[in-house]
Amino acid sequence: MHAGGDNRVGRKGAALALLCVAQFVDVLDVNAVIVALHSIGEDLGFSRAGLQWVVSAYVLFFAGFLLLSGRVADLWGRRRTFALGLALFTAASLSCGLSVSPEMLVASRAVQGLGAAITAPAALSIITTIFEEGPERDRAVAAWTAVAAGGGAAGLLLGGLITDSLGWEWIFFVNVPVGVAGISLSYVLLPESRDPSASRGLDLLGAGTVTAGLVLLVLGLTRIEEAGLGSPATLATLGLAVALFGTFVFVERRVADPLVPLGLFRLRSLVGAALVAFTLTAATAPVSVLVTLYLQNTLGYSASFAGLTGLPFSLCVIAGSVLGGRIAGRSGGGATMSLGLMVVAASALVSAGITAEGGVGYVLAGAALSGLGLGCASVASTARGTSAVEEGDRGLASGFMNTSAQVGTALGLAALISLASARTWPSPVAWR
Amino acid sequence: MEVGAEALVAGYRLAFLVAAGVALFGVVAALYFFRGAEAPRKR
Repeated sequence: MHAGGDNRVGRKGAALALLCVAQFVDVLDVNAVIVALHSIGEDLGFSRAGLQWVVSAYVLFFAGFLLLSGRVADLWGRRRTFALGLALFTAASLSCGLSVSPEMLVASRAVQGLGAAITAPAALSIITTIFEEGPERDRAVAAWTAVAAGGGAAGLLLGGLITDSLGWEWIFFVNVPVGVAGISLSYVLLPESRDPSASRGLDLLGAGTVTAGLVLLVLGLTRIEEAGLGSPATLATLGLAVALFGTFVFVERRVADPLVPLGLFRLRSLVGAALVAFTLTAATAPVSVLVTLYLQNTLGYSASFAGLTGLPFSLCVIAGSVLGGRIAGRSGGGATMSLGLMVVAASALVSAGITAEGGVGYVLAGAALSGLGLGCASVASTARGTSAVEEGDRGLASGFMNTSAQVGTALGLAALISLASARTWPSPVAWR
Repeated sequence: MEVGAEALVAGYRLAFLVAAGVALFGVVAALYFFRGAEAPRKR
């Protein structure tokens, strides 16, 4: 395909750089938005407990379509799918920045999440196509993963700086030139590839019902705070969500190529690891969001400062991952997950030491502990979850774990932010 | 509602306590699903 060896290596490096930049931008935005939530809420006038939709809309659509889009990439062409996902993400980013109402921003964030869900698995598949199995591929995947971790830390810092200097809109606008360049370069740098053995069936109905069910479940949880658990609106929303989940299970049992083969739920280690991934994000994501709101709303700090306090979290996630790998080698995955989750529980208790006069020390200590526990338990749960299946099903198991973590984020945010806004005056998420 | 210092942070604290409870539920789940079975299961 390419003449010289050096040229080939350079081309591979450039392709990896492009895929890493796309991943970096995807992850950066997730954390940048958290730091900017206070400004977004003030400018667009979000209702009580409504602000969490800015994060939830993204993660719900990301989670709902992640598994489906991996199969679309194999069938339709990975480069074409990557470019389509990036185009959706870029267009939605522009729409997010131009938003003039909560509804417009939340809808745009949902499309952004869909774009990210299409881009991420296609990018990972392209890496496995370009780089041969062995040390070369391991290094490429490690670089891609490290860039994602870096994007998380950079998102907190840059999100704060951009929000304070240019305004929250610019955390979305910065994606536009990167996205346009990425789409153009993808046709120059990335080879097209398909999986001829991939199943032709696409479980669109499964993806649609589970995503709609999750959206309604989150809506129902936020309505508990606004209208009460016994209100007809809340009960109808939660009932519809349950009906959609029932339909999803029915569909998965009937279709030839289900999105989530129900046999996965018989694998004890995979279910346990997915449940751990779910509780980890359900416990840590809402605390991260609430802490940035507390720093800005109650203590009056800037978005830049709030972003800076997230740094110990990001650094400790890395330290926790290294520690978790070592502990798992000695004591086993189950003990490592339990230990990590206990540290996460301790971090939340430390964070609860905040007062109206101050509490930055509690915030920093809580963030550091939370990062350590999350990194420690995540590395063990990912290893145990993916080793529960045969080699050929590792991608499916990995996607299932990732989806569990995203759903944990969305449900944790819906439940805990609603709870916090009902018990705090003034509400952490109300400006009207 | 009276704007006391406690009211400014009460919701945050309650949410953090519930988050700790969620993490402890995860501990129970990890202990239940991985008790005495550290060898990777294969399908």
